[in-house]
Formats: sequence, structure tokens, C-alpha cells
Amino acid sequence: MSIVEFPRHNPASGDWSPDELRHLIAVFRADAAGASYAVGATERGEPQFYLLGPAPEHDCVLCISRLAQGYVLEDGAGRLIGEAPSLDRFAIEAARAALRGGRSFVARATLVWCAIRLAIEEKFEPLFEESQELLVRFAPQVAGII
Amino acid sequence: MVRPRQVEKAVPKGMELRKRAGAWLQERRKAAGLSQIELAQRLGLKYYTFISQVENGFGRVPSDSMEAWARALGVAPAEFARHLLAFYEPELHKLLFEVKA
Repeated sequence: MSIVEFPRHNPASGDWSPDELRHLIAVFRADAAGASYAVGATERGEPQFYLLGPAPEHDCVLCISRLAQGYVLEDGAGRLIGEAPSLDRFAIEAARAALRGGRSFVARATLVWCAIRLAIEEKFEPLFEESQELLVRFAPQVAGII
Repeated sequence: MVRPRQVEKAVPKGMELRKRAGAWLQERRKAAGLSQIELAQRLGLKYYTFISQVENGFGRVPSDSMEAWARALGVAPAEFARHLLAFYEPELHKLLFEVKA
């Protein structure tokens, strides 16, 4: 298997931007009480966001990495859950992937909950004008229920 | 509303042990002359981000891939697993290898 190696465009891009970090924290804030997060970086300086489980172990539940051309989501065991070019798209893709099953229960539950939250939070935005986007958001959840 | 908090102070013991395990793994990888990307390639991973996750102390080497990690790093699998067990499951390690009858 060949490794996916994105070219590094900006050597100084090793940190999450305030917007990215705010977005990530917002997406995952509904995690259970006692949740926490940490940030780190790969050897090449790409930032990583670790969503941690409850104390005392604080096991990593999800890891989001920003590579040069997109975002990668893995669970705490290194299983690839989703890939997306943007954080907005990322949550949708990740939820869709999670609903396909085969992931840890905690990771799936977290992602599905995130997707639901995103949908609810944006209900007053021009979501209804974008029927295609609406379909993308809800179809995976409906499919999961069915 | 509960928001995730960044872990900074009073690092729990389990996390501290994982960080020590990660540091040891990073030492072994560098000693083997491998980058994170090269190690990921040898392990058949699509991305190298999990290597970083583990080395930063936020993940564990899965037990079903310990042998592959050990061989990629040039360490005897049994020694590798035993060493990591001391970090990941210290009580079990103590029972198995340290407690004298």
C-alpha cells in the first residue's frame, strides 16, 4: 500500500488557526462531561487535535489532523474514519463514514451526535434553500436508522 | 454547557505513561532510521498521522499490530510487547514480570 504524502505548502502552518480550533471545539463541545482535548503535531509539523475521553485515563477518542490538502479523522486506534478538504465538509463526511459502521461505538456515537448538532444549529440558516446540502446532511442519518 | 478543556495540568498517570511509551517508540523509530511516513508505509497505513498520535502519547500501539511495529523498528516482538505493557498496563506487567512468588 502506498502512503498518501501531501506536499507541505507552508512550513509555518504547524498550528491550528484560531478559527480552526474554535470550529473543532464547537463541533465537539457536546461530548460528555469531563471531556477534554489536546493539540499536537506530526513530525512534519502538521497540527493534530485529540478529542479525549473521560478521566482518569483520558484516552484519545478521535484524532483530527490537518495535512496540506485536507483533514483526516481517525479514531483512538488509528482506524481511518473520514477525510475531507474542509472542516465543514469534514463533519458531514465523518458522520457518513461513521454511520457505515465498523468503528468503535464511542467514535460513531460522537460523530453522529456532531452531525445532528451541526444540522440543528444551522436550522435557521439558509439550509432550506440548499436542498442538496440538506440531503447530504440528513440522508446518512436516515439511512442509518433504516 | 460543557466544553472540552485542553489538558494541561495534573497530567493523569495513564496519560503520563502513554507519553513515556510514545517517547520510547519515537526513540526506537529514530534509531531504526525511519521517518513517521516510512514507518507508516511499513505498517501498511494510509496516513502517518496515527504514528504521530501514538508518539505524542495520545494513542496506543494496537495489540494486533505490535508484532508489525516491532519488526519495523527492529525490535524482538516479545521484548517490544513486554516493554509497552509496562506503560499501557503497568499492573498486569507487574504481575507477569515483576512479582516474585
